[in-house]
Amino acid sequence: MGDEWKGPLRQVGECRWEIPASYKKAMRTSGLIYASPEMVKDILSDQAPEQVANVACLPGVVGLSLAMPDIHWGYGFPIGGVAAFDATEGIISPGGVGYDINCGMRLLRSDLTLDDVAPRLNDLMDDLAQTVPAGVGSEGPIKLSRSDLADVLVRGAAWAAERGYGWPEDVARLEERGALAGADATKVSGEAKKRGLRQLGTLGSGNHFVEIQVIEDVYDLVLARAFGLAKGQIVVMVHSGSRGLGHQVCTDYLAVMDLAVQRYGTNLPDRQLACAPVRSDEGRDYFAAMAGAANYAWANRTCLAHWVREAFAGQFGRPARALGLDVVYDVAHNIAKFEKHAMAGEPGLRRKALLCVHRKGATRAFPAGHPDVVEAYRAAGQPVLVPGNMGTHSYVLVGTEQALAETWGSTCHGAGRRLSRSAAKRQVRGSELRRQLEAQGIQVRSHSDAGLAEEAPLAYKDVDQVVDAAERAGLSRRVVRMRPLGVLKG
Amino acid sequence: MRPRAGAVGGGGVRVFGHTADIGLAVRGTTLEDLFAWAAVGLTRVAVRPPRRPRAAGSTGEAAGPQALAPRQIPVSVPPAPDPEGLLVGWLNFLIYLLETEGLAFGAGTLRARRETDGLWRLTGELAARPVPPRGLRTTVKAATYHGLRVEWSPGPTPENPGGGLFRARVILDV
Repeated sequence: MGDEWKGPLRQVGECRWEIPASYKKAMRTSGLIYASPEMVKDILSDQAPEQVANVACLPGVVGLSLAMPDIHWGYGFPIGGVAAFDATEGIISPGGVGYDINCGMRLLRSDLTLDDVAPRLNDLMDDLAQTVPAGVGSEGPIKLSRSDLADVLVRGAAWAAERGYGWPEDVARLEERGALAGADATKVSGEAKKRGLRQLGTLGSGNHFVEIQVIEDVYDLVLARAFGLAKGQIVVMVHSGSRGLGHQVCTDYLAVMDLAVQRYGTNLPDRQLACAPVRSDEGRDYFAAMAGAANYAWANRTCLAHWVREAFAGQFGRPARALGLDVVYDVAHNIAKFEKHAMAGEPGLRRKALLCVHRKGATRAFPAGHPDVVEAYRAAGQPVLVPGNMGTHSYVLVGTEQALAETWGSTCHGAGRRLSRSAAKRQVRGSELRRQLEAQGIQVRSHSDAGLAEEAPLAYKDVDQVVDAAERAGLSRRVVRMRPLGVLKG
Repeated sequence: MRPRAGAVGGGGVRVFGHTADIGLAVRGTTLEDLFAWAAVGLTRVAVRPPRRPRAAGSTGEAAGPQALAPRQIPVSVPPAPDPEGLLVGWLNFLIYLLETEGLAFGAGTLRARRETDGLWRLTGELAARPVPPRGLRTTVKAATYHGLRVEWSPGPTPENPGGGLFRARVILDV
């Protein structure tokens, strides 16, 4: 997607590639990229490894600057980047979270099978396209007052469920129960709030989607059962985030951090890595605003799931509860959080340190028994939701002890882009792609052919390879694999 | 300062593909001219070109001058340590206007200056054009700091034989 990277990359284990700390004078630690040998050529095709090295230069970095197998170029941090910073001496960076704060995935299960859905798929997709507000500049039927919005920013998914845009039990199956602590609505600018007033419950555009899928492969019967999943079952995946509100929070605080970098005398290899000490006023304010945007995103996905339930209920003539459309789980893949982690090298990993863990295009993947895994899955481990692209599979994985020990409990988040949007559009026309997908039995609804072409399967890496590399590295394990039946593209 | 399609007085903008996103290569005879051309580039990326007015008696989406009467909006951009940061702030202000008010840059009276506290500020007013329904074609999340640069070439330059030229590159996250 850009200039080939020429820096040093040394294999240090199965699916592990090191960028030594000696590569750049300013590096405070090494970089480590998780990838299979066959993926390395793609990874070197842009400057994402340089971004891994750049993150290693940031003050207070703890452990290594990490990248998951779906690594590709991003703004500041690479997509797929994970880095932890000391909660006292380290920094916090909007570039380590991204513009779409708490972009993430939600999965709904159902009691329906392929036989139930196949004859109605066309109508169901039409209903979804009618019910789910999507596309450029989309606004939804939910009109928030300013005080409603302040509640959403602090209470997240619970606000939506209480207003009837979700079920009370939904929140117990969301990462952070759908509300990150520490949010402060007063730290979110008036501009960001204005962008958020009309967009709750909207999908947006770009790579956001709602997808009806069928579970095709089960890799771990026990875990699948624990997650309420089985072969042949219909599930629905939702991909969206904090919409314009989150973009504005990132924009606002990048400008704040741009000045803070001068105030605190921080040397940066890339201006997009603008950051502030995590305990500074700027750092605290950003975290409080970012948490608010994250909570808006959890409320947003709760509302989107509600529209999905309405479309299914309308099409099947039965209440969504009777169709078993329960939340399986909901993960954030663009977020910074304070987490306690055992420090590598400590005897018995007993000493725990409070860290500010940035995951940008990476998913938390905590193992069975971890206290932060929601109660319903604590014995099984945290579900990890990994979308492919609209022509290939998606996965449910589970977190592992090894991920907790090596990557602050993180794994991949998707297929990872390999072609630019413009390159994708040069290679395939939206109308042609629609025909190709429909020939594969995948129904497509999209507001724009150009937008469809930008998200063409050929623009993405092979998700099977990504998930395989994450599993070989021990960061996550496959539970089930889904095949797409119908895609509503944002 | 009223940039129109094509170069005026050496100013202009070119849209180019960049990784997952889109970039603007901008030139202007003054900083203010540069900023105005960058705004033209952003509009080109985010907004569909206005339709030509239909023949009398036809129906359809109104796109005539009356439907697109501009609104005067005061510029509100955070101070920045340098012209590059100010350019990003300016474009992000326009992105905000597009999303919240459905207004696109039409023309502007801008003033960019470095003040005694060492920070750069942008003041003035812009004439913002309402975007018709379905007029947006791309969601621009933000103007970014990646690979951002603003450079001054002393004149004469091929584009401006009478003087120097500012050149800028900025990447838009779409």
